Amino acid sequence: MEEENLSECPICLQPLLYPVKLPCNHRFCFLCIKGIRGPTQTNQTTKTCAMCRQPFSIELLEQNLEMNLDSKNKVFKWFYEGKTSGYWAFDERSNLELENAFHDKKDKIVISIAGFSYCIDFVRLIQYPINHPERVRKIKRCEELNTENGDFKIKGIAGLRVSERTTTTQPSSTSSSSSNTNDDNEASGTGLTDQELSQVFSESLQLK
Amino acid sequence: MAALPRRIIKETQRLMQEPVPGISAVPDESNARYFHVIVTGPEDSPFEGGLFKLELFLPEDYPMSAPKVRFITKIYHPNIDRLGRICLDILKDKWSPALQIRTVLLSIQALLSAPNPDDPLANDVAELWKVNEAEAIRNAKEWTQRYAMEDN
Ligand SMILES: [Zn+2]
Ligand SMILES: [Zn+2]
Repeated sequence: MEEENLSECPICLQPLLYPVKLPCNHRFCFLCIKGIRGPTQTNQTTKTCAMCRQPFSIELLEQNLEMNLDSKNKVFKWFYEGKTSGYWAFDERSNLELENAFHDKKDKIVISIAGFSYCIDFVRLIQYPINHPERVRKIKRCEELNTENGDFKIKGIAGLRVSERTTTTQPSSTSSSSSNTNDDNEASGTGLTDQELSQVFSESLQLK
Repeated sequence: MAALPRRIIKETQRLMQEPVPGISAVPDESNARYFHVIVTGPEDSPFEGGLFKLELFLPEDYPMSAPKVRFITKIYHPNIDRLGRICLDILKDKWSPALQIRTVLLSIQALLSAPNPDDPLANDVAELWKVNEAEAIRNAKEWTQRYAMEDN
């Protein structure tokens, strides 16, 4: 049997998104556990844990969110320093894994992007390739809204350049233009789309 | 057709990478939600030596609702009816989205090892299984010989 991955949701088999811990201590994505069917059609406020069938109240679900109250309604994004200037946003899947590890108060984690393993050090706020610890880049965590306030310059997502005119962190804008300068695309400059990247990424998750 | 959910992609990958012993499940070339399944009859059961074909379909709201599974190969079993429908609680009211294709097929394999005539679907088979188990087992072996060995 494969190793149980604690940061994986047993319903969607993906990294936990907005994790919820039920009274029985089983963890799921908020939306995944919210979406499960109740034991009967008549009682919609009580459902049972998908792992152990212990009943829980759907009304208490939001209180079981593992995030701090102050950050509950805010979306945070992670960025890594470009080689020459500015910051790149992590792709969505990596961002999710970083957020989860951050909330779990981990010192460091290893994530895999397009087949390369990177160490993310939350204490020193840096990242580096496992095989090249000298190639240190800074990382940042920002509330999504603040990134548009000229706080620092965002180049794009995971090596895909966003158009200079509409710098946002929305993945939809990445398709508009992508530059050929490979100078600082090293982290994930493989020419993959965000979707392909997260595909590769989800596959590599199993290897851990 | 709508895009295949990541969960189904991941389950399929894992089924290919770490197959369940005695079970093969291969997605159809034209429909990734439809699986061609072969379960080998468990040792020390009347189904030993047989290869049983099943079909498994993942409905639109999978994993919130259970996969649909049916025996294609004829089988003499108190919990499987003439049409191959299976009486198994996890396929009905005991379904949980944390269960997977893998766990469903393992449960079906276990059902072949341990028929349960007290919770029957095929009533005449269950009846015989209760009043004359030896004869029921003889029938099951004969059906295995006749339907699950030759044309596979
Ligand atoms: Zn989930
Ligand atoms: Zn539980």
